[in-house]
Amino acid sequence: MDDPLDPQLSAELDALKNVPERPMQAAARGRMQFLQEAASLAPALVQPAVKQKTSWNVFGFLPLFGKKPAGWAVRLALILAIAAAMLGTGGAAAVYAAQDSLPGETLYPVKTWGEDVLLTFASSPQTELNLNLEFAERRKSEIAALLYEDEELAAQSILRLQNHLQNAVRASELVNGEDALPSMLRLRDSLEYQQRLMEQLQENNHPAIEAEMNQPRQMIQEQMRIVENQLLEEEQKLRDQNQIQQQLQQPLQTGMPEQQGVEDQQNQLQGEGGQQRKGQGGQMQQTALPENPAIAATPTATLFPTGEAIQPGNGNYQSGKEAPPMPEEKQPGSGK
Amino acid sequence: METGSKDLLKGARNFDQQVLGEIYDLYSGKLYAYAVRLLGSQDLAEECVADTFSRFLQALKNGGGPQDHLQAYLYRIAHNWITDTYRRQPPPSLELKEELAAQDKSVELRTEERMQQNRLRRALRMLTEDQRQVIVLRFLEGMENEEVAAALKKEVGAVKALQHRAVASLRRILASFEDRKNEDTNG
Repeated sequence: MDDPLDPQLSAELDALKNVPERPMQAAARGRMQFLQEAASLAPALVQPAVKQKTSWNVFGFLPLFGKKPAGWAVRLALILAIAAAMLGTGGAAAVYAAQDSLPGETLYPVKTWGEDVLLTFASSPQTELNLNLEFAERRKSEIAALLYEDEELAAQSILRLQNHLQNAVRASELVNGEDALPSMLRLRDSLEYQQRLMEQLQENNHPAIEAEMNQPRQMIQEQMRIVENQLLEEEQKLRDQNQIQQQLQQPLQTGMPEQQGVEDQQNQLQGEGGQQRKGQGGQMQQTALPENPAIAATPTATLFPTGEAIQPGNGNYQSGKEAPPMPEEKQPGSGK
Repeated sequence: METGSKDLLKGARNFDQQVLGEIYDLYSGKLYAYAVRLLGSQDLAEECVADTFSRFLQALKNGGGPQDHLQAYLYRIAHNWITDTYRRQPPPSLELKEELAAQDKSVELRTEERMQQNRLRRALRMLTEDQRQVIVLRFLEGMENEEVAAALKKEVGAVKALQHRAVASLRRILASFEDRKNEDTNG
């Protein structure tokens, strides 16, 4: 050192060398907000991290939807319109009819093409997350129908399922606000399904499928970890919001001196929120419970009901109503 | 010395999410510790880190930001943020009034530790901005002279001279605190 400190001054400075460890949740939240801000500042420069890689992206140049995500009806209408324009009204009807098809059937490529078009037009991480979750549900139904009938065809759906969930996890790191929590819960459910499916495949020896698998178990566990952390953060946000609301009510009873404390609390939360200070705080839920019942009340047992297997043509599963079952163990060739 | 700073900055200018995530992972913890040292508040330190990275993004968006020495650049933003906060807030008290709960150490030891920290924070606030920065970056953050020079936008020689004056000033300020404490005790 050019100007060595004397021992006494060095000892004085040592008092500030040890600082408390940064809370992991705050660090993760700060990171997420930083990346969200980055994505919002450079929309024209950035390829969305979750964009589905697909050969159907030829429509990606069409700025048809602007910045707001369109609803399902509009999107389906668009696909039908495109199909009608390209293939005539018969083509549009084919897209519609293909919704119930399974891998190996003639219309199945039309079904996946329609999905790819929707993903291409997705204009926000939240939309991409929801679409990937929705399509993951379709894949689960296909897997349930095909796993013990035709392993190779089931493998196609499993690979697409992995792809949807991988994209959903990436998108989930960019979402926040009121819609985030339900989506995250759905994503966790789907990841748990995937994990159990892998275990089931391993236990029951499906060599054709295992050969096609491209995601080792560690990767799935890592995805689970990411989503669990995000759920914890969302839960913490709700608790913080609830605490502030409670404190906002206190000064009405106890008088003005409390007001400063409340403002401090708000500043503190906003400080933790970083980017939320700049106007995103309004997206946070205004009502919350100390313990989020939605998270606590998602029993693992309900994720994989042992109900009857989904039949072909049952692909339009609506999430939140009933989870598709894990494929039942059957003897190969026992019939659909 | 920073390595790969130019590569990271290249990716950051393209708003590459992976690179930006890497930058955050690399520097946010250090900036947090830096802010806690000077501010004595974890909440303010989080705010400082968030604003520092936000300003970095704004600079990139406007075509600005550093060409090199990313770490030094981020420390400079954080330093400016802390200096602004100093202007808004009173310095920490030299006496402890309240609250130190016993955890793993005894209350007395914790109190003594906290008093030492506040004393040093107060002394650092009495230095000039450049002096404070050179002391903290050099002796608490462990930076080399070249990096401190980049953070202060000064020549290395100027930083060495500044460091010499800063150490002398700090020593003098701490000695004056000690004298005052002795006077209070004796009379």
